[in-house]
Amino acid sequence: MSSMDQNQPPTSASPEPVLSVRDLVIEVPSEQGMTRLVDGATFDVFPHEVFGLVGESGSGKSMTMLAVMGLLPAPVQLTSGKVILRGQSLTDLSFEQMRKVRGKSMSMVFQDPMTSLNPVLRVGSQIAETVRLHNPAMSKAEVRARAIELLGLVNIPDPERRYQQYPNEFSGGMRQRVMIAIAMANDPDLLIADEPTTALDVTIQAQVMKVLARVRAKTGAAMVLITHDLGLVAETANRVAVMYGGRMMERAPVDPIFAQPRHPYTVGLISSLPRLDRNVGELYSIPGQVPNLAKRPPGCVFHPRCALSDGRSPCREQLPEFRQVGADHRSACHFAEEVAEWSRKTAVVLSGDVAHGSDRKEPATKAPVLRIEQLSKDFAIRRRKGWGHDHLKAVRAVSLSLASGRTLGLVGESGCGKSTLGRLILRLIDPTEGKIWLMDADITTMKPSRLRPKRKELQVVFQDPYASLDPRMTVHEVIAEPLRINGRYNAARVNELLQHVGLSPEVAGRRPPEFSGGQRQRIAIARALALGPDVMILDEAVSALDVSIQAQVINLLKSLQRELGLSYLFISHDLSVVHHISDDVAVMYLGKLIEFGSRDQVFGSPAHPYTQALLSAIPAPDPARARSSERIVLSGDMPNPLSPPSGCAFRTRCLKATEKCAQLEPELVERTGPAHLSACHYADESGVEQTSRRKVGAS
Amino acid sequence: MAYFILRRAFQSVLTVLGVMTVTFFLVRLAGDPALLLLPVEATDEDIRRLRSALGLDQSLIVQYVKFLTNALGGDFGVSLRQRTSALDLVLERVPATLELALTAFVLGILLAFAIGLLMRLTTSAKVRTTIMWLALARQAIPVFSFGLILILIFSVWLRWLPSLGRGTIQHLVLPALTLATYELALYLRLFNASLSAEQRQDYVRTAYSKGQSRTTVILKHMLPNALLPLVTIAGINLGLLLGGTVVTETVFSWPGVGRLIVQSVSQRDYPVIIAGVFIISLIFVLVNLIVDILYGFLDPRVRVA
Amino acid sequence: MRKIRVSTGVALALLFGILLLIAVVPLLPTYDPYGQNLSASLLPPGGVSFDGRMYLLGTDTLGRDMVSRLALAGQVSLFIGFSAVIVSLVIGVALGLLAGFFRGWVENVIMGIADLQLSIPRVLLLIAVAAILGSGVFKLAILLGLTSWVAYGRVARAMALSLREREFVLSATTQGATATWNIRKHLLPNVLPQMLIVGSYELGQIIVLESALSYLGLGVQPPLPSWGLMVSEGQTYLELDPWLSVLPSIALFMLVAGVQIYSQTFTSENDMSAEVVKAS
Repeated sequence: MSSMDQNQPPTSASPEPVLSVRDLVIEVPSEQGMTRLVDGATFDVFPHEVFGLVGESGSGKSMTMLAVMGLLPAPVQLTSGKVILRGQSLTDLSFEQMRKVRGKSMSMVFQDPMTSLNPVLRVGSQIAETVRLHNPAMSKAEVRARAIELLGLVNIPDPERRYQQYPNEFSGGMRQRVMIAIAMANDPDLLIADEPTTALDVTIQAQVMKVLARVRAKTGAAMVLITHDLGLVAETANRVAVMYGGRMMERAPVDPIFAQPRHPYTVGLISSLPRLDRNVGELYSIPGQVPNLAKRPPGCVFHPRCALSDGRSPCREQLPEFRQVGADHRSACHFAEEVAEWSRKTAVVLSGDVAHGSDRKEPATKAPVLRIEQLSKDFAIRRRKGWGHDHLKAVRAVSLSLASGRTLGLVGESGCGKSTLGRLILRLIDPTEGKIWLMDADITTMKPSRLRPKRKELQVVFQDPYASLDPRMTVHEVIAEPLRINGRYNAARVNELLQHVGLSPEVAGRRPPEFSGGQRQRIAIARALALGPDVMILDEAVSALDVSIQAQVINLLKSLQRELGLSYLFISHDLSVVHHISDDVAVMYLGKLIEFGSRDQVFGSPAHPYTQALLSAIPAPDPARARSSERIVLSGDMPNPLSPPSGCAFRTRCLKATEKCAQLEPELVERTGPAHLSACHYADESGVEQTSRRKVGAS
Repeated sequence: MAYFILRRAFQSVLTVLGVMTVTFFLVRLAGDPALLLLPVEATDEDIRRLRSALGLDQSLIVQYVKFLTNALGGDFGVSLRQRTSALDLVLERVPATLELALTAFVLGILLAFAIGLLMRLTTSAKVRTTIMWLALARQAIPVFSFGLILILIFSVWLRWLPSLGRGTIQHLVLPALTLATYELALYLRLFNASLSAEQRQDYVRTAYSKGQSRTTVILKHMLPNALLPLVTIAGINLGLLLGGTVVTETVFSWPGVGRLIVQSVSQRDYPVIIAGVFIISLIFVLVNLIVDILYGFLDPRVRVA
Repeated sequence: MRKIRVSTGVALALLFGILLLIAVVPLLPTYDPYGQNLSASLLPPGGVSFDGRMYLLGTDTLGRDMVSRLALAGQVSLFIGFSAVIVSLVIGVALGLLAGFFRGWVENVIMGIADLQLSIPRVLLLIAVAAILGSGVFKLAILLGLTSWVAYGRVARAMALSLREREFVLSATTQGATATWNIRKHLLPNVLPQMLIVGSYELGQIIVLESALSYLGLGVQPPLPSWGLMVSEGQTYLELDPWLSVLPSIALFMLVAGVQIYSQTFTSENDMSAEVVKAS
């Protein structure tokens, strides 16, 4: 990715801003009167620059930009403030006048590409619509030609044919590129991208960001990038604003934001992030929960969670001014001057490179607590054309073992079969072939009545904190359930478990809907611990959480492992988190295990080209590094698992693929080092040094 | 698409077989047909002879297979009262029922479509609320009550329209209105619900972000999506309407299948009841088959698999 | 917010009227739904007979007190309605949960029966069965219940399908829970509230259906009154005394509208999922 030209600061010294937002207040009526979602957002976006708007859920970042577009969903309303686009005040415009601006001078790409296109209209006509709306003089043929040109511009192969198709014939990554084509149709001055890659896999994210960079380079549009992903911001943005609880916390060019943050929230956010380039024992974590906007704390909105504030009275009583603390650098903190000193003393020390501390374990010597051999799962899928069923090979002959007290990270993109594998091991679904041993007992075909007592040894925590807890039960009942099922109910044990996961026993009488995502995940962990398991499967257990909460839960999981001697199978798509928590790592692609090794082997010297591409696709939350490193961008999408490619499944997207790869399926064997397995014919030739070589897929 | 149609047609055949099975058991429940056919003074010997002539002395399976083959050949037996083919009696009445049901269906759906769209395009909340309350009220009035009120107003007091029978277009007005207003209320509420659901979809926001006008967003983007689920519901409802004309036909003495069935009930003429229920169910299954295939053509998510 | 309060108010007012009719009228000294007085037949509301008795809502062709008959008919309708709803709710929830939780052939069989039942319009099926088995209050309640389970069954199945994949059910399974445990502890409590919403909507439908059958002479049998039967009896005298048909119609409207508006306050104005699921 050519990030060099992107992170250049705006060229001219003080050009007119493209967009100016002043004191924006957005409110929604609620039972207790008006709830403020955004309170005083103020910033400028200059020509050609990328302005990153960063925040966790509920920070008000998306609402701010929807208000700029005039697309706030009813009953949310813009209460006060000014939005000025190229000198024109948008807040005074009528709906009709606003129509001429939307899609012409400013446009937006939304988060979920699967739902943002109209399912019953052809893709071509949805692009052509935008062109025609703002160019009424254009002829039908010209509009069509322009739409096809746009499809080509965003790298949609065969645009003539694709023009005629419907959205359901496009993959997620392609749909998002279509959205970009629609947004860029009239060369807007400002492009707003709202979490444009959050719903996509990391290799597809790299494709989409590359397309975004290219179309912007071509038209020179300024962009506002709304995201929760600090890495993406570090890599893409020139200037950054950090929002929290509807207020702007800090605003500065990208380098100082990451190097010299002047707000304790920014410091906390950056240091709670697990990173590929650092080994730390414990992540810094911001205490407490994301604020409830209906009960906004007085004074600084962040003060209840702020370690720097330490309960000082100005933080509790006075709204901090969003004041100048450096060149083009503002911070809404009463004690911004103390931030550097404080972060040196506490936070950053914590996230410094603590070389393999006490936390690192010796390589596996003890017998495995969990072992699977040649495990496979076929799903029968009813054919849409023709009679009968097709076999979807979700998991193909996977062998793994998990040693006592260790963490095995299982990574892969969506649809690679990692969650299916988790469910197979849990015996929630029956394997087609293969064997599962749990503590030396073969549970593969065990009858339910015999399996039930064995189940207490293997427990699970799932991804979705909202679906994991029965909304009709109290927290006490939720945690007591496993005990009751096994006839071991004991009220004291429930309270003990609550304390174990850092919750007060007083919450036991409340119901799950009253808790935030992080708290629910703690409850789910307490429930999983109730039966005293030896092995826990953590299926994307921290993926749905905000960064600051995620760090808390990861730290909790690590300390529980130390205390209770648990073994974890940690399933995740997030390589940074896997890097932080795992001892060993397994990588899956299209149902197959393609690489296995210790954490340092897999992350330090990845052997498989897919692992290399995955690692290279992750944006580092470090602007300097992001600028200097090159990136492997894989072309195309993951093949249809109903008809996987012959030979090596990855060959269709692999840069090294040869005739041999199409004919001979590579075995998962030791190739590059002891106990470092990989399934690539050319694994030997690829090394660490090559990942940094510039290799761009012919996409 | 061809496989989709084939599979769907296969399902319909299964359903028809199921309906026939249900009908067979209904016939058996009705008691010994021989006793019903013969006069009260018949001797045991008469009964035995008739039973063997009708095949009633054979096993249930044999009778079932025989019933199926007969029914497939259109033979539902002879009307106990009129001594003619039960199926012919029913088929004779089908056009009247179709005339009434289709008129009400088309009228109801067109009005619902027009009013529903106007409601969505108008910005007056008062108009919208009033229409929805009227729809709700109409749905709460049973068909026979509404029919009688219409008769009372237009036939008894105003003397504009006939209250009974079939023949001229004037005869059709009241029964058709009775059913059409019910359909109108139902579709209006469904259409409104469907449009409201679409309004919250992401693609609507995309359309507005292009600078599209409200009217175009509603007509071009939301409408096709909102109508899709209604196609299925309308299909089912047309079938229900064919069955539901029973009450309306009775209120207005409309000579359709429904009225025939009700009359046959009071005369205990089971073969006619069975044939009537079967024919209505058959039409219902057919209509649904057609509608599902139509849906497949309309929705690209089904069409382009 | 305001709109919900308005509709709830309207619903409660209508239901209160009906409650007054069926609960208070039978307590009055003049309550007599069967007593005939041929000399006082076909009196209009407020009419006074020769013996000087005032009839609040008039009399029918046999000189029976309309207000008493309307009250008794209301009791009959509500009894049939509630019984049928309970019968169908129990059957529907049980079959729906079984189909949705166990899937496989259990689901195929149950949903096959449901589809079959839907392909014979309910009125016709009821007419055919009532014609063959005869009718009566209890038979009617059971018959209506047996033929109305599909609405609950479909919604319960759809919810069970999604609930069985929910993480709290999966995690209970991994803790050793049996199918019975999951259905009892997780599925049933989560499905029941939605079932009660469907039930309140169905109550209105069942009452209409019962009155339609009675109107056709296949439901409640005389001399027991039913609103549908009273409309039908009055139809002959439409010109002479329209009150005979209009009064029971008004009572029906009040009950059905009240129940429907009230059931709607559970779901949002736009959420007609119950109807959509039932239809699709």
